[in-house]
Amino acid sequence: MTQEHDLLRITDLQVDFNTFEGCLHVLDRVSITARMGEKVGLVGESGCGKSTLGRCIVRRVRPVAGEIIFWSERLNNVEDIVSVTDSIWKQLRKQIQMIFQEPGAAINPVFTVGDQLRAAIRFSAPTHIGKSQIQRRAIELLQEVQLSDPERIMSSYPFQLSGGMQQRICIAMALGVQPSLLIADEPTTALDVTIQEQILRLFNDLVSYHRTAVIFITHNLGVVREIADRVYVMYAGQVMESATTDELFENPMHPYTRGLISAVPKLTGGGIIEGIPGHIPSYLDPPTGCRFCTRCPDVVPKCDEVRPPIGSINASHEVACFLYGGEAS
Amino acid sequence: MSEQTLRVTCLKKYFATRRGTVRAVDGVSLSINRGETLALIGESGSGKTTVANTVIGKYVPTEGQILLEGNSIAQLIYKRPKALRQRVQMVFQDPGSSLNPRRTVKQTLGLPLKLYHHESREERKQRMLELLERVELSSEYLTKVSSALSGGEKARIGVARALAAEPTLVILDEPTSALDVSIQAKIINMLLRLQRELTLSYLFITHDLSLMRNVATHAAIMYLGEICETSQKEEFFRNPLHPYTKMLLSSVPVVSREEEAMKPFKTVLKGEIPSPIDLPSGCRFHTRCPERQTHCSEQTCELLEVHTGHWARCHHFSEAPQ
Repeated sequence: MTQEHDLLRITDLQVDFNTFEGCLHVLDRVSITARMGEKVGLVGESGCGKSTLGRCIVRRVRPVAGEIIFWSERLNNVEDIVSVTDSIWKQLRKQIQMIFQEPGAAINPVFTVGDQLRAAIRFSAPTHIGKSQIQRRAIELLQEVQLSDPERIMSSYPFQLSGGMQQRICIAMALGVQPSLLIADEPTTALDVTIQEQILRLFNDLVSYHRTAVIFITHNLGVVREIADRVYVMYAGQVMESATTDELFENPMHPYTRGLISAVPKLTGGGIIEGIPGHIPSYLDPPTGCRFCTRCPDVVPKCDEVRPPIGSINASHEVACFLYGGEAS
Repeated sequence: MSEQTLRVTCLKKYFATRRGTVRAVDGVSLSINRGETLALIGESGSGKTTVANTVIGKYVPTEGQILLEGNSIAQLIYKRPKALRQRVQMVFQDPGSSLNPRRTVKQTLGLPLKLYHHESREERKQRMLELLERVELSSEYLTKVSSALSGGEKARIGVARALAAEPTLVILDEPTSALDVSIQAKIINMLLRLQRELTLSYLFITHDLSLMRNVATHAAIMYLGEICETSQKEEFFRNPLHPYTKMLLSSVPVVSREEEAMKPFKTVLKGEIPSPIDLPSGCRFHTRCPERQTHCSEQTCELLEVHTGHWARCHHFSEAPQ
């Protein structure tokens, strides 16, 4: 297979959570794709299901319907993550890595950085490798994430390092496994803007160097604009709009996307616009149609009954809204 | 409105630790006039929250003076601590952890009313309803417990609790950093409306420059316990002086091309903030500064008025003014 093909294709993924209050319909027929080496942004407000989607990909959450097709370079085969056997998943698991929001909570506080880094390398190695080789690789990785004095860092405990350094170590650990897909769940939210910029830049360089595909989950539109090639906008468990990053920010179409972008405080000033009135609907009993219809300024009667299909505006822009055509099907 | 609500002069706050003295705040001077907002900006560890904690009287300053409406806080805190707390209120960063989850809104708001204003039960009820109306919540919220509220609602209750004391100065310590943008927009606009209605002074602590642009009237940038640039907001964005300010501006992630054009230059700010125990010699920023010269690491630099009302602490301005 030589041509660029989809590394990950999620179709009509549906996730329900059973709680005491009833069944929460968290994801509603979500479809996304990621090509090899592509940086895909997933934006939405808290509680829109973006992290749940990420966790579905690493099998921490079981969907009720839909499929997650992952093309494995090592197995040279496509597998459905939802239904694969555990033994195949063990193989796939090495090719999908995840980076979390709180670097401090993602690293074990009672082991040194070196212990954990070496474990990650040992886990990913195709064959058994020697101790000195592992050590060399670990130091290489720390240099790759631009940490000076790697020997000292290897022997320190996570709490002795700053948040930025901890996140670099998380990145080193994830990349040490040489994954083909990396899921980054709000990796810079806990960091300062200056450190955030450093981490984003490092991230950018490393993933393009390793040709790793990235699913970048964030609520920060500025960050997604800086890092992603293509963006999916999620709201209440549905994908509302997807487009290449430039296209999305130049020409946002879905009323939710427009509201979201306008609510971001601008460096140019001019006050803050309250884009979106109201609250996110309850997942217990969400509208059957478009879940944004309760807050949408351009709502039409059929919105709350029929889910608008995803329609293409052009080759790089898709939107699920009746404002832009899309007959009720 | 030139009446000064807060005047901080040469404030120093050192903490003695086993590893040495932490110079968290080292000679900070600032002032806020009635009805104005001063945004205090800096990375974590720059000492901005320590300034706030000293202003509310939680820490005793090592040196320096804080005047609240002309009265010294050092005296107030001993003689009339209640009066100090009534006039300076704080809204905290994480609305979830700053409200008691088991208390109802009525209990949360009732306590400051009982403490500071000794009103009767009926008066209190009336005041609570007024407060809820001010923060755009309906009266049925009175009986809800804090844990049943959403993030945005908790933030509103946090603001209402601060206003219950009828303060003149409200310290907002990153009040919206835990909230989503659409909720942030509502809370910020509410805060601005309340400021106009009640002529409040805000000390707004944040690290978000875009937010600061839309909220503040004045800005002060802190780095390692010192103010490295301060001015009126418009001037600040028109003509950023200090290299650190320029770097902060450059590292803000933005959503449009117009904003991109505002960034002074595109270089990554290298390194991390040094330890406040072992401060760099000379200019504190010299370890990360892209415009560093040899004498920067040797001579300390003073905060100088480069233009009228626009102060910066950098050797570039001390040699050749303008």
